[in-house]
Amino acid sequence: MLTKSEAYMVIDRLINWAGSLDLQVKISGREQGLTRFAGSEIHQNVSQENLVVELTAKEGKKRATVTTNRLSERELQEAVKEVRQKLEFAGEEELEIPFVKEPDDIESSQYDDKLLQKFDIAGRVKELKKGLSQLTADMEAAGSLSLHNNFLALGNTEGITRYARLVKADFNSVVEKEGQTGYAALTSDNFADFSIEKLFSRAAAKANQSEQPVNIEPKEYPVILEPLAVGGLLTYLSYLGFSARSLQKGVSFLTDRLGEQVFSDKISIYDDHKHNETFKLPFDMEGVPRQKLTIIEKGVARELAYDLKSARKDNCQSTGHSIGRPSMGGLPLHLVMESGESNREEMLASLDRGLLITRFHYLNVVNPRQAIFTGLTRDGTFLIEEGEVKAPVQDLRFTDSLLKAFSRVTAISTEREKVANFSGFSLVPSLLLEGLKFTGRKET
Amino acid sequence: MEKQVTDLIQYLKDQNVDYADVRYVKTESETIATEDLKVQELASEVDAGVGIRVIIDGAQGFAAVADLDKLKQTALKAIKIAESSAKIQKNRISLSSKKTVQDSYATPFDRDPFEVELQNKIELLQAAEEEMKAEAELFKTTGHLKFNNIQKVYADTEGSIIHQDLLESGGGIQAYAYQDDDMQIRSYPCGFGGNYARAGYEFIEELELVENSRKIAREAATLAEAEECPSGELDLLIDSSQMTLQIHESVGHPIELDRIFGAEAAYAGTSFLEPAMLGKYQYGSDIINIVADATTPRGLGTFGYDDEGVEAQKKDIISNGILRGFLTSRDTASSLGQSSGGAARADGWQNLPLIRMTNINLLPGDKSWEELLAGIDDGLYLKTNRSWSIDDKRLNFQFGCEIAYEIKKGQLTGKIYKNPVYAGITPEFWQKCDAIGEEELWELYGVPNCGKGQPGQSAHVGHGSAPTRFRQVEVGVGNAN
Repeated sequence: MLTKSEAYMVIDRLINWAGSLDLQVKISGREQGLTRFAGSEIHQNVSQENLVVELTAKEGKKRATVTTNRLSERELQEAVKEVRQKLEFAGEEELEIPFVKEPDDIESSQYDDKLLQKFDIAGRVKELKKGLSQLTADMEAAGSLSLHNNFLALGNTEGITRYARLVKADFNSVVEKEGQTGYAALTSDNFADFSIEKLFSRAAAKANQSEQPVNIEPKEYPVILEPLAVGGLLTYLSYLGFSARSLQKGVSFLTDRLGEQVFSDKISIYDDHKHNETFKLPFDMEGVPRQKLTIIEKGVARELAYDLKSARKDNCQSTGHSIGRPSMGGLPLHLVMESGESNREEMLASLDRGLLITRFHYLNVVNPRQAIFTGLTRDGTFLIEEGEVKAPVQDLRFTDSLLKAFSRVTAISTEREKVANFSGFSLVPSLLLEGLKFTGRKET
Repeated sequence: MEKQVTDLIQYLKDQNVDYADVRYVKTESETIATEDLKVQELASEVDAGVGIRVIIDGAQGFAAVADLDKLKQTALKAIKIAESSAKIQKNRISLSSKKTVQDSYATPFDRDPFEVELQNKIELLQAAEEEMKAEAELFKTTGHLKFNNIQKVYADTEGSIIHQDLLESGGGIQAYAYQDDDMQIRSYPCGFGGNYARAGYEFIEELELVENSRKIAREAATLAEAEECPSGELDLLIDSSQMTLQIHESVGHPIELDRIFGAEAAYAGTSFLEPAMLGKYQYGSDIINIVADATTPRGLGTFGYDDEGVEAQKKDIISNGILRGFLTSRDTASSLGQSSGGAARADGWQNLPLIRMTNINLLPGDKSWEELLAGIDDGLYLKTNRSWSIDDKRLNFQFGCEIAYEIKKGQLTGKIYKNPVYAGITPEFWQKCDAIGEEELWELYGVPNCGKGQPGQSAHVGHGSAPTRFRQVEVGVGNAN
């Protein structure tokens, strides 16, 4: 793990070797420890440590990238030479994309040291042992507990520097009892959020409630989506449609719909790295300061995530959402869905007949422009009748347009949870939807 | 590198581990992407490091590091991890026996893609894009090439030392067209960014990207104006470009023995299969013959040895419709009293080997193209995967394709439909198979992005098949209106 000054020294050295070449240097360090269990015993217990240097050179509209984790002086000098050579042969891109020039420095070195202390190799095993010991003899658990201790540093020949420490932990577990399952998960950068025992209890309670599921007909039902289910859908919505690049490619469901009402006026979605419940990364993979985005405001599509290239194409400024892959453009990584005014009991009480869904499995896009997704319910799906949980149900497959489903939101919970997304976590509530169309039933 | 790897094995022996293996992996890759005739991405990468696995008193630990100055320190970390694992362990890990070898293997190839001028590769993609744009009014065109050169050195405390040099080449093109509120995409030679093989640049030349570009351009433009795929139960003729995904999701993943034992339960799920089904279970109709073949020429899942040093094998998985085998590693095979099937594969140096697909191939049948069509009175010919989802037991699936060609009275009518989606239950679906194309129609596709495990690992696997016919399949569920 390089400190800020160590990382900046490496950047300086590379930029010096580059001479007159326009160069951006990105260094990412990763130390990960993960303990995985199944059948209530550890079956994979692993650690990995890597340090990667990425060099991006540009000249006019030409651009080339070389990435290496071979970091001796000779090998780094070769990497600079290689990126220079590659640039010579590179064809021109559509637009010239300048490197970031300001501000001079951004640093985010704060992290929760307790995560590193409590979730080291011995700590993970200790926490899991405690959690697993409270399960009854007829239960088995599978899942993982991991610690991610990373940093990101960036600099370029315009003289800017960036450094951030990124430390988080992930936990997830399926608890199985007589063939029925429950699930709990948490991703956070704050140790105080973690009670592994409570998370195991939550998954166990779901498994207990899931005994003797009934089969119901696949058709449209009103649904309460718990935060894990909402987080899954939001991750895919974001990936598919919240970047300017996805509109430029014509694959976003927000194409030609900016400024229009696309969801219920109860739904507001932001990307906010300054929110105290999101992780701390104040700049993007091009060094651009991250801005807050109002993506959906009271159901109206407002702002999109831009990287430098997609912004240049739309003749505007980057919003600081590059993920380092120009083919994907900007992507919001700090998603926050506005909470509502209902508690769980009120949401349940308002349902005459419907389903309570813990999470979805294997979500995928069926039709991107209409935001039609498919996926299956999993690890805790319950029939609600007259405001009460009546029975667990066999899992169902939904296939529906989220433009349609999210336009019929009748309640949003006050409480929100951190749910893992593609690279960090989102902060999301539970939603009550008037209808979600189920098109198949899982066979057992 | 062999000396560093074998020295480390000796160091681990000195620490009194019961077993250890050490893998050095160095991957050099090159990516070229174009979009609308302009270069979109031009990148190369070198990634190298060492993964160390130890077993002590039946408990396993794994540690990996890129910094080769930290090898002993990392070895001690792997030992510490194994000792921690023992604290929550019910069953001792036991490895099935294998042959000890000192050997080497290299992917056969004619032309090293890293020696081909960068400019030639860019121009190839641009030429294909120009053809597409000349053929039809398109919203966007893209092209993509990717090459990997993977060097591996493996050694273990049982005495094996293995060198492997694996070369991968892949690429493809896409045409995008849209009208009103619908975007349609046609890809060649298949989805997932193209087709990939363990081969040299000759594979890219044989793809004939330029020669095939006009056809997909026309089809994309026509799809944008086409009718939605009809709903109902229809006979399907599924092209190899979609059978790849069908085999992958509904056979390849369910037969992974670690998944069957519950190792993936919290992530992508388990399997409907159980060990007791071996030799008895009717997986599909009696014309279904599927093998796991790590020796298929050019297969993206082809190698000399897996990442436990087990030699590449060809194993029966389904014979005449009956389940005959699983994908296994040394520890899982040991639970069944078998030797490993050689399917333990790791994503790079940094990950623990898991059971991964090799080349899971549906063997050819005996029907000509005309015979396959002739048997369909009212149906669809589906091509190129676009969307996929399957439940956590690998039973209920729903897959989408880029294009459906109408078949009436045994003939392609020339009419095409957009957004075809079909669904089924794995064994019921495979029972509906009544015809498989002959050897001349058999094609091999490489999938470079098979996800599994935590931390997530991406495997490179292959699937060979010919167009295959299925009776009365549920079609059209993706139309959510």
